[in-house]
Amino acid sequence: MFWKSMSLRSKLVLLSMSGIAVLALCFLVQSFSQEKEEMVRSQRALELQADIFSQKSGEIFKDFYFDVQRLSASSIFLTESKEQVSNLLNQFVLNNKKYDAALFVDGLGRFQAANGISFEGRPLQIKNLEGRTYSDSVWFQKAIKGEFSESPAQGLTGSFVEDVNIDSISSALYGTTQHGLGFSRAVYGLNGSILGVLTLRASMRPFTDELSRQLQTLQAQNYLTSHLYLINSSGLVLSEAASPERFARITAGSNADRILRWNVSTQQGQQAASDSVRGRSGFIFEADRLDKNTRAWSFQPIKNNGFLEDLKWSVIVSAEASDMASDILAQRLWLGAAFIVTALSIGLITYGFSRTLSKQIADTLLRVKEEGRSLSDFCENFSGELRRAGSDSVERNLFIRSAAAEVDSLSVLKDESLGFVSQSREHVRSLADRSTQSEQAVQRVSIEIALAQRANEKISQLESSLAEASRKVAQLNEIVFKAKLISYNANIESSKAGIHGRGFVLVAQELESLVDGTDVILKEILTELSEGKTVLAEGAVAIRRSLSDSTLLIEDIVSKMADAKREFDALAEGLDVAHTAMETKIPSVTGVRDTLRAVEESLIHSQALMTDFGKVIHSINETGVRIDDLSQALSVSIKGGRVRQRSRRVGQPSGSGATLSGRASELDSELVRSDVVDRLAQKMRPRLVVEAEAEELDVNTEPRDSKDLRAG
Amino acid sequence: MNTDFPKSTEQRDKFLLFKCHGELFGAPLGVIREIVPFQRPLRVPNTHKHYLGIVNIRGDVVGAIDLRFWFNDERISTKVIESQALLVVESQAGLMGIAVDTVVGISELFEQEIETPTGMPEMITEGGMIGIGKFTHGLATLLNLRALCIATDVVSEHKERRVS
Repeated sequence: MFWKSMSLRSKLVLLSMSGIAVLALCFLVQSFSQEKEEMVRSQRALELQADIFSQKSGEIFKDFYFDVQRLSASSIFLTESKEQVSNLLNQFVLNNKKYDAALFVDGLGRFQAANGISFEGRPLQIKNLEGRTYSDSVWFQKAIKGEFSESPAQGLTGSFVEDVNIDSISSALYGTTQHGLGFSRAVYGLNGSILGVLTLRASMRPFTDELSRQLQTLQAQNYLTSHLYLINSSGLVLSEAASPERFARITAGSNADRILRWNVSTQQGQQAASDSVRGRSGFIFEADRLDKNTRAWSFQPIKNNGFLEDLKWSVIVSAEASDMASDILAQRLWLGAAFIVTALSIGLITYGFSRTLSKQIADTLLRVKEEGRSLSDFCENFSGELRRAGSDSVERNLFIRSAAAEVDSLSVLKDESLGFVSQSREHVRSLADRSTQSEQAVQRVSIEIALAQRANEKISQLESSLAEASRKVAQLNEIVFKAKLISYNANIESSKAGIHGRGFVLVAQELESLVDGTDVILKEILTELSEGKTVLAEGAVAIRRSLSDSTLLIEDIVSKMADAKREFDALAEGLDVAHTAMETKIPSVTGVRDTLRAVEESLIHSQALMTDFGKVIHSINETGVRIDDLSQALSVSIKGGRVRQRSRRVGQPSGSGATLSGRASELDSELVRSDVVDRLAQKMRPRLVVEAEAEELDVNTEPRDSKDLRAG
Repeated sequence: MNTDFPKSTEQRDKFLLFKCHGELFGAPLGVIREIVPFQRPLRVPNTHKHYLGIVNIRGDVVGAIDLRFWFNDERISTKVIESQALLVVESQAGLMGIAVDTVVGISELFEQEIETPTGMPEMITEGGMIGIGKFTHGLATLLNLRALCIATDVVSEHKERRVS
């Protein structure tokens, strides 16, 4: 309501101010992130500087080592002449400004010689060294025992490094404690015996020079203040600062503990400094410590390429990076002011153009409203058509799903049928083979039957032979009968002859007995023959009956087997044809199934399209409502109802400006319509393509009637 | 008594045993001229049933009779059995052939072994029977074939009635 009650000019001003505020907020966030990035960058630069400083200090230590090694190898020590050794030490100190003093003590630790030349204007009190014994000192014991700190692999064996912060030699030479380094090394004779120990007191000049060089580098990096510290386990050794007045305040007392306490007030900083002395590097970033500025501290142990492990020396690099942050803040403020001015200018210019622009917007909105209404009507009609199409598509989708399921089941059924046909074809082929084997067996049986028929013929011949034998036996029986009658007649004749016929009686009786025996034999033969004939006749009859039956049966079997073989062959050919047809039909079924699936997907796609289009229509309707609201708001906001009058004029073709705006709105509406039509055509293209494919494959994509659908 | 029958009781007489219509008969061997195989007789009209006809035996025309019809005994088996032999008997009426089924053999028999059945003396005297003989084959009716041949009527009663 508040927004609607505001005028268009006030709205534009308010929008401009809001944009300016957002831009300012973005610049502030960006400046903070830039500051943080700058701090991180300075931190990394400081760490790099500390690392370089450490490397340089390590090289200084390495030079010390080489010097003491070279000096201890001098042959002058073999002369055992104190004067010559003193001259050697004087010459060495003069040539190497890095050393304050050089001493030589014998194997028992007694002072023997030293350089007698003052160093940097400070007189050396050599006399204080006379008669002293250093056999109990740490450096002497270490040098004699060969307990060295450096790695033998570096070729720097034989030197003992000593912190000489508080040392008796320093006290004797300088009268005060002196921070520095001591290098001790045993000097060996020709037979390998130890002649004594050479010790060098190093100056801090190389470190001071290096501190200066590093400080110059830090100054070149636009740090506001830079501080370099060289510390060891005893405390602060050296320090340099880019701002001497501040450093004077900082280094008051020149005590490492105080320095560390002062510099690193936090527990984290103290831990970092302690770790640095122990050989571990550290870094802290400290803010609001000194003059509300930001300071970074980097703690780095001196690195000596690994050959100086026990030397607990470290470097500390400190720098204040807050000046750069201040510059960034100033730059940021300037940029913000420039943006505010620019935004105000843009707001004024926008206010100036708002009136003209509001008129054109009002005209355009009216045209858009009218076109929106016509488009809304068109969309409603089209929505109705789409709903009908959606219902049709739902029905088609159901039909296509059912058809796809049927096609799937048909495909499965065809696969099973194909397998069954293949098995049946194999079975039929095996049956045909068995039929062929049975035919061969029947042929063999026919051969056996032919042989049996031959045997039957033999039996017939045997029967005729038996009949002939029976006939012969019958003839023989008649003969026997006649012979028997003859014997009877002989007996009769002999009986008639009386006594004279007794001999003939014997003959007649013998003949009778012979005839009787023959008759018995003949009867037996006749019986045998008759029995054999009977058995043979019965066997022949049975064989003939069985032969006839077998022949008839085999002929019947042969005919049936021939019929079965023909049927098997026909069935096998039919199965082959069915198999080939099914194999050729299955890909088509698969293609139909794929087509149905594609049609289903296209329908789903069309449904989604319709849903999207419904949303589009809804959004168009909402847009129309918003256009109405906007036009009403414009009518309210534009003063004096001039906008409404102009908007009425826009509907008339009299004004040139109204004509141009009307043409523009018509072009816009035509473009919108053509765009909608193009999108619809693009989304409906896959469905049209699928329907064309379905028509090519002769698949009915029309929905079933309601009864079929309910049955499905 | 038949005079052709041997008188001596010590002598063993020979009998020809034969079967006719299943019954065993015996005849003294002395009355039999010969035994010939049976021939189909030539039927002679107006003769009795037991008169089978005439046969030719080595040029002699011999009449043949059937004992069953001759005995006029209907109890004898009517089964037609083909005769195998003809017993040629010399009688006062001439040669006569008696058809028999088969000749069983020749056996000897003492006279005392011939017995006369009780109540049949007339059959022995007038019927041409000698008696009953006991043989190893069984009991046999001993026949006096000459007497049978003499007593046989050839002409049938029908002829006789017509002539009369």
